[in-house]
Amino acid sequence: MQNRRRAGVLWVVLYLALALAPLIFMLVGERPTGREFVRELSVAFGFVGIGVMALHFVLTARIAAIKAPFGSDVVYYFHHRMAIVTLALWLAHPILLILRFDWALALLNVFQAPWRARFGVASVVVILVLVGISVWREKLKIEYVNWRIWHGILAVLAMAAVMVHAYMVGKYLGTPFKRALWLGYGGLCLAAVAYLRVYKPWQMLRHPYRVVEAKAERGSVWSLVLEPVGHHGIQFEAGQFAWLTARHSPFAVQEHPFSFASSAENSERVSFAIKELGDFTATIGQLQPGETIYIDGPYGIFSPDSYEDIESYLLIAGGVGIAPMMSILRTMADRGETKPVVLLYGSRDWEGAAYREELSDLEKQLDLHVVHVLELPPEGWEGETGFVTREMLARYLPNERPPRYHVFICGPTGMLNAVEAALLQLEVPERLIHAERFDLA
Amino acid sequence: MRHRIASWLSWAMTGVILIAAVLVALIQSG
Repeated sequence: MQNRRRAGVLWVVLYLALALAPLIFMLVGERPTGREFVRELSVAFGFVGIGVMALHFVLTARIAAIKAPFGSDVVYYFHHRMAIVTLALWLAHPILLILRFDWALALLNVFQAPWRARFGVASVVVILVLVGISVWREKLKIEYVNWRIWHGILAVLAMAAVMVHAYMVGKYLGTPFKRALWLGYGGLCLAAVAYLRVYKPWQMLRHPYRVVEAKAERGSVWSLVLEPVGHHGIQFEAGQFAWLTARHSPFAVQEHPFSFASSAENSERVSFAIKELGDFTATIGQLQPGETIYIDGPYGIFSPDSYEDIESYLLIAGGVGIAPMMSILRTMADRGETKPVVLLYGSRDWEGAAYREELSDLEKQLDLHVVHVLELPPEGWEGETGFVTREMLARYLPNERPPRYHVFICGPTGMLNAVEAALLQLEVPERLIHAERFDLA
Repeated sequence: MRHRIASWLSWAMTGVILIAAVLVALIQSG
């Protein structure tokens, strides 16, 4: 925990240093002088905007060391927020110039403007499209896989155009040293793209898996069971997730994130619990035994193994959010763990409660109490109904001071937010609440 | 909640970036 915090601080400092470093171009060596504040501010926004943009490539390159201290969801959310900041900086650069100087407006005329301005305009247009299709992907009905491909292409185009723009304007890049440093930022982006799209797929190609079975469970959930081919499989922690590629080459950018559902004690036979929701997940049931699957992972810090001080657990799952919980419970069973666990498991109805028979068996092996919470209970149901509320949580939270339990929550975003808020109201310390979000896109 | 960490981090970064850009522009414009 201490090491993770230290690594987190180190990454934050490094992020700031790399984001702000382009500003040094403005302060050292050969540079224009005697220009007014608004113009310099516009340039400063432009430079720092490029620094921040370059770092998006690093943030999204799935570098395990960067994700480890924060968790994937935090890194992606930070990427989303900083993307808006990047766009604002890239827009502020020309807007300030246009508002202050009459000559600047003419630079927007791409038919007559010099090439340096054309590249600048192109970069802003591309980043506008890039952010637009990302924020409104669902409204625009862009398929996830297509969006990911275009997201990557547009990001590279925007970065290339803005680098050329700054290089051609060249007011602050006059010396070979500065130019070399500038190219270094381009190199950083290229290295990140190469790592994610060449090195990682190549590693996946060398470590394939084959489908053992795709088994239908309750609630339109499929258990996809895989075994490694020619290698010893994957070491993961219960609760982590991986990116899966099926029916395509790992180079094809056709991958989807899913939580491991199998025991972390068995790396030679891994399984995932996948609910039929969208384009790709609807075809899981058609996978045939023997088909090749590629796995990139493991990722995430939604794992009891990440915390040393757990004495008992409250697991809260909604729908297919049961997947990482199954991994946690199966792992505990394989390890013969005796720590008390309460699982609050929300399902639409009794017939749709995936793995309910296995959970019942696990109750006999572990110190586990499964509480089913049904939205549409059958007649005569005497258990919990509706959604997981504050009152319900209060009934099942261990009555300990100080608390020695940890709470793990996985499910739809609305449920996560509601449960997190309720737990805080019940004065559960924030550091004991761990939530796994599915919306990584 | 974990989103709050990311949100807080992004606000902090944005603040530092804006202050740094203004300072550099002030220094450079003399």
